[in-house]
Amino acid sequence: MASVRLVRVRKVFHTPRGEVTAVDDVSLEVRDGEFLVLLGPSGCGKTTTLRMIAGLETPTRGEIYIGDRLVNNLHPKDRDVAMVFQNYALYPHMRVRDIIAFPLKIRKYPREEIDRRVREVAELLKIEHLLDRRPRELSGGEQQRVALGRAIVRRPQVFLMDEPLSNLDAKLRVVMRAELKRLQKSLGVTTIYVTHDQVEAMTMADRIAVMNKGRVVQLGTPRELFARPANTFVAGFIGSPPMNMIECSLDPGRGLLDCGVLKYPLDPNTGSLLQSRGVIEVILGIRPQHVRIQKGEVPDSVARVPVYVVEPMGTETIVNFKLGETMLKAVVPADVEVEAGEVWSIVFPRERVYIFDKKSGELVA
Amino acid sequence: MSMDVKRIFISSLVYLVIALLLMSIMLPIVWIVVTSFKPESVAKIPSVWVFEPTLDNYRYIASIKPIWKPLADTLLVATSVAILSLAFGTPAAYALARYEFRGRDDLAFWILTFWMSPPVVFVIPLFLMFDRMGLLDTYIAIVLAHTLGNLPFVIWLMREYIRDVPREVEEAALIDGYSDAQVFARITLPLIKPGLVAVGILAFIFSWIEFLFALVLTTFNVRLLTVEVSSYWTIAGVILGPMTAAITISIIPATLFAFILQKHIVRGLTLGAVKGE
Ligand SMILES: Nc1ncnc2c1ncn2[C@@H]1O[C@H](COP(=O)(O)OP(=O)(O)OP(=O)(O)O)[C@@H](O)[C@H]1O
Ligand SMILES: [Mg+2]
Repeated sequence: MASVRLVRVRKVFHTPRGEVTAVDDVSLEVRDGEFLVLLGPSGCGKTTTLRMIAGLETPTRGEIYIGDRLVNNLHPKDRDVAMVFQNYALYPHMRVRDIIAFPLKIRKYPREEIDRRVREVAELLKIEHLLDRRPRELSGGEQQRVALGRAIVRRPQVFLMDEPLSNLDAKLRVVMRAELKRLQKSLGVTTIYVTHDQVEAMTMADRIAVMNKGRVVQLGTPRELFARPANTFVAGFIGSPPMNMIECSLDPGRGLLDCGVLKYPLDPNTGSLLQSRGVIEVILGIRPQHVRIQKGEVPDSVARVPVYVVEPMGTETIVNFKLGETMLKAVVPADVEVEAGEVWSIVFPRERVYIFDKKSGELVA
Repeated sequence: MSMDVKRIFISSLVYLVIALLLMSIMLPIVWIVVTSFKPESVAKIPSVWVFEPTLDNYRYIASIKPIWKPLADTLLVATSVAILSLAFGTPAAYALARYEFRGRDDLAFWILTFWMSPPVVFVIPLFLMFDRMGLLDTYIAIVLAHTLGNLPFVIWLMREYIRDVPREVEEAALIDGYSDAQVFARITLPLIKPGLVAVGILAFIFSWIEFLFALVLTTFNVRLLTVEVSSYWTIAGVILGPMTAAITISIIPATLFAFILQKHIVRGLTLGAVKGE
């Protein structure tokens, strides 16, 4: 087992249409035994980052360490990592049994040990009945589990997993999520796990590195990212439904944020902080779970508006208000009775409000 | 006209065209085979289709002017050519398919242009080179020449087959512990087996039917069928009966190959259109 360290790693692809910077100056330390998730939208450089760690792609610049060893020029086979590919990459001419046993056979494990491990892995992944099939006789989800099996059958220094659960049905995904996390903890193998599913990231990760446009925009525990998103990108990416983001401008005279229909009174400290930084245009963020609504008039309400639409979810209800162009969502317990068209007061608890600089997107207060 | 009548009409038309095409291809072959069984008296009269079949012509090529050596030589040369073409062409194709380097696609196309240029351009330089090396009329010379002639299309076709193998499959094997060479030998090669068979057969057939290089680079020590067949045209005229018998014998192996491995060849000619599984 080992830590993984990326120091100012950059990857530029030269294509006929010009240069593409897939990974831009990423520095990252994955601790020994840690479960680190790379989270980000499609095309943000997650796979490229993983491929550089595996040795399938050479960084244009920067250093990659596995343990204390600089691996930039080390052949993939000598890095002692196992990888699950986004598109499975199973050997088409082999049977499932041989595919899973493949890394062990190359390393000359004894026959009985190979058999035992393949059986264990197949059991864990529920693919015992598929062992004698070939990849083209498997569904996407089954292929994905075989790919996972080929990786976890070994005890490498590092697991690299590229969206390994993306093709499983929702039920199996939830089960596998937990199994994988448990397995990782019991083996203690450092794991870098790529996903664009924030729920997967939140539930599995020790820490999450949120990526956007080739950069790591925030690194922290799921709690930290949820409680203190460093910018609007992270704020919008983590949490479900996503954080409400309302464009406002500072009105220093009245000491409030003017957001059209909605007026949010600032506490004096925040007001002067914004002023001192020269931030006038801001984005006010609040999670739907933290928006409070009341039927009657309340003194500290930020707005009184009619309900636009109500979405009952079973255990809770999402209430939508239309504020000019933007939709404000509030999550309330299912037993609160709300009807579309009714006028409700909206309250933003002060400690739940995030204020971002509109220009840079960075969190200000 | 009802739909059915129309459909029958169209499909008969299609069959008619196909039949005509087939006839234009088959007629010379049929004529050659038929002639090879004709007695000498009617051998040169194409319009005679009814006659007492005889094996005289085959007796002639079996003993008077034996075809055995040309047959064995051609078999040996064509087999060697097929194997060598694949042995040199496939690694080259792999490099052109998998390694990124400047001017790669230009290089690949440049190689292909050799196949488009007329062979006669190469035959004189090759003759001079082999003459200087004392290799004229040897197996080495003709095998090398044919291999050289085959390499452009072998490289080009094998490159298409290799590109059909997902790169990630090879990469997975690298991570699982194979070296680059092991990946090529144990992952890529088994996956392009249909391509190897198809391209190998094409290389075999091209060597089998090649005439110009054979004529210039070989004489008696090495005797190939195409040259042997042409030698029936003597100063005394064409010895047509035995010649057609020799041709009949010489088209058998290639035709057999084509039939047996028709599936592979069709796939080989459709290139990347068909995935290799
Ligand atoms: N071999 C390549 N040549 C050129 N551009 C590439 C190459 N590989 C990746 N890219 C580009 O680099 C960027 C990052 O790609 P990458 O595959 O790392 O994204 P990703 O985060 O894994 O996305 P996804 O969630 O869709 O898998 C993309 O813009 C992609 O088009
Ligand atoms: Mg990806």
